[in-house]
Amino acid sequence: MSTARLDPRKRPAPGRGAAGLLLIGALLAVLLAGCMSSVSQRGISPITAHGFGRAGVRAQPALPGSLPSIEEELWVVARAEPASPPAEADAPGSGELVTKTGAGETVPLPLEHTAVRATISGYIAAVQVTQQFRNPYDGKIEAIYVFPLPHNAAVDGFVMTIGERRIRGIIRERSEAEAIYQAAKSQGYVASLLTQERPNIFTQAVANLEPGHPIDVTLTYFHTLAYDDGWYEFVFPTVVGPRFNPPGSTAGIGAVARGQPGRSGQRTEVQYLRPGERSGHDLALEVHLDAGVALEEISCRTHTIAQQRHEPGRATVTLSPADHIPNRDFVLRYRVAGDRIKSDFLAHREERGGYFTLMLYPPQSLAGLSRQPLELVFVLDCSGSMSGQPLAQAKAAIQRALRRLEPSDTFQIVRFSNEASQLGPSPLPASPENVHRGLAYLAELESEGGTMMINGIKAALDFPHDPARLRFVTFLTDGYIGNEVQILDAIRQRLGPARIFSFGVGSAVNRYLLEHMAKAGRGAVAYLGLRTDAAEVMDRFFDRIAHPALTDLTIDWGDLRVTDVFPRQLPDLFVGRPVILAGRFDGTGPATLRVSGLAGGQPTTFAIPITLAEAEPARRALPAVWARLKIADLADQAVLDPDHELVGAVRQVALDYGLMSAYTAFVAVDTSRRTAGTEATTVPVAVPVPEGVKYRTTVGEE
Amino acid sequence: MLLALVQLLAVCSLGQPAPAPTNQVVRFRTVDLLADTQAEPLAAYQLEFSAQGGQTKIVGIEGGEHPAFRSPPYYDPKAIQHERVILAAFSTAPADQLPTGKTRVATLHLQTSGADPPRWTARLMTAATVSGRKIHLTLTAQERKSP
Repeated sequence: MSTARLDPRKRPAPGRGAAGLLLIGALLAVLLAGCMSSVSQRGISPITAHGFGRAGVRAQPALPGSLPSIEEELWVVARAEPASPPAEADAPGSGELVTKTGAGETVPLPLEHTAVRATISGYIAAVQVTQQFRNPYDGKIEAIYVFPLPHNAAVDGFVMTIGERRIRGIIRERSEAEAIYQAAKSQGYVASLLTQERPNIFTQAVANLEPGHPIDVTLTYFHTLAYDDGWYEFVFPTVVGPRFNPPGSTAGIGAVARGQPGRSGQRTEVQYLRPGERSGHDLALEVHLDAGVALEEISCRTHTIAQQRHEPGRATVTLSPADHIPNRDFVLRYRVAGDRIKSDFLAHREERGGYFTLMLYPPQSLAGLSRQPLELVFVLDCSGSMSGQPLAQAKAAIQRALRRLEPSDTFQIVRFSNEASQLGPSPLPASPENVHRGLAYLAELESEGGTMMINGIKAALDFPHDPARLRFVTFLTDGYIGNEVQILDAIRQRLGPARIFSFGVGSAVNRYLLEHMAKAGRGAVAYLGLRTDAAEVMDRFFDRIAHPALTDLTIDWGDLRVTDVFPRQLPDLFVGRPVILAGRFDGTGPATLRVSGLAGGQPTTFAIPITLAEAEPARRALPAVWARLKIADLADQAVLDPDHELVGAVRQVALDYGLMSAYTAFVAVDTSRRTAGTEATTVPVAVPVPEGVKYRTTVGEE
Repeated sequence: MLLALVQLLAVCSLGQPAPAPTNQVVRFRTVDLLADTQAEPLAAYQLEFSAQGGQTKIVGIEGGEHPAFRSPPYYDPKAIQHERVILAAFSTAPADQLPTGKTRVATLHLQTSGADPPRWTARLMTAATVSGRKIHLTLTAQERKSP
């Protein structure tokens, strides 16, 4: 075992300038129109100093919750032989950090601050995330940070800032980018690498971070907002929840205690702070909202915000400085004026051709139809990560649902953790006696053990279908698993005529899994936060399933020549839940689209008039949004059929559009100088467990 | 359209880096792209840089020395798959706040491999003043001494 000792820095670090400005490439395109070759364009405005203010705690005397004093010691111990399957020398978590912070509870870590600036136009968000790293030790380090982004984020920009200098990263095949990063790291150059571990989990690595030296890494992405029962929803996740991985797996996302790398045996690991520990990492967030029509209401239940209304349709929302700990999703919802939202077609043309997105809203006529009798299967995650408040919320939601069943319905309750068990051998009629029995069963359930979700899926889907009823399977879970592919594959294989409605329960749930469970299950997703009224969420679900969905959708595009529409399989339309499609087009407008489908078995058609107005700034996002949907579609196919052609297709789309994917990565190297000193020590950025999640039942310690 | 479509000036500059040491397979190099505008204030430019021989990879693109061009330029992701970048940048600042004379408009960070000297080409495609008037300038690609 080799041991190295790092001391916290004894001098204040040099100041840094304001975070980097990103010029708008689009304006240049206007200047140079005609002689430009497709230079990437973004609609990002310059950063304001206000939005990226720093915490400014460093120069303060030591206080509870601040960085440790300079007299305190910090030890770094590099283990030669980890207890679990060994991590590669350069893999995340390959060093071990042990801190002795005396009486203090703050752990010095190399990530200080995350600044988020989002610009929302209609239902498309352009987001800029700046991660501010600084080495608090007296030796050179490599910082590794595993962090979440929205699962549908089209990450298309990456800039490393060193002092006043800004270096734009290059998108490359992942293995090539990793090799460049490793070579730069081993030769002492400052470099950064962004890789994707899951569609919603990324790893940021910064090599040769010198003592006291700040380095910012800024990444940019686009994504479409969700729309649910009158509310648009912008979500920024701040922390990866601790995942459970089935025995024998190595490709998952491991959860280990800070300073215990390699113990999960997983390729990617997240280190968690112990109860009572706190890193100096904080969050600033600013959202500029342009709804396009008058805003009726802005709401944020997850955080304290300040909002400024500028015009009827525009507002600026900022996160309260008192609510800066990144331990839960930031969820901002807004509602626009008017009785109902109409389907919306956005188009954009550029040298590569035409791109569009279509927010397809269900016709109002659906709300006039009644539902068939249901067979409702409630599947409750009773694993350790649901312990406490999440389980209580999930139980409250099921209680509400049981009370809303009609006598013609049947129901079943399945619980799972390491094993699955259920209320009865088959679904019970929803008589008052059986509902009472179900409530009693529910009340007895407790959480413990692992998340063997596959057992819950088998129990919920592997029994004979009742042809007289629609089978709706509701999963209530935080989704903290690392084997998402296995779960989604199982759903596709076993779904039959059932529909899956996933409910994400908790403060920082695995939205990628939950969205894809609903997508694979041809249902819909909903989120039950810890500060949300469970009954309200379940009532909305019942309102949705109280009417038949519009199924077997087809679209007649009229005079538009439309290709490459994603998702390839059009989802069912439920009341209150539009779906977003993206595609390529050629032709001119105006035009009328005709959408046909079956509602309650009866043919239904409705028309959507569209115009092909010239581009607005936000529409420059459409090629990236389309490419991201195509990547997701190809990746979904690759789950079922993991052949090399699909992998190659994902990679090529990502490279052509400059996007992150599982097979591409951003790398940036500062070749202008080599850092002094010997090999850098790897320091993973430990994060808190999400709010409401118990460390003891998820991370634990040996 | 403010600028003509024709390519304005084609000044090619071949990098003349020192030969790579044979005992070091992979090297990192820094190449400055220097524009000489004479007395004209530079408001916009577009240039092309390409590496030949398959042994050079672009690993970072940095902005210029003047505040008007300090932001790192964007690149075409399709072109860069062939180690070719088309860089473009502009500033709307008034003329007296724009660079004149010799100025570094961008810096490319490169990784090279192999024993043969790397080869690259830089070509100016167009440049203009803030009023959109085309200007002639000289573009040079100059490798910095190894750190």
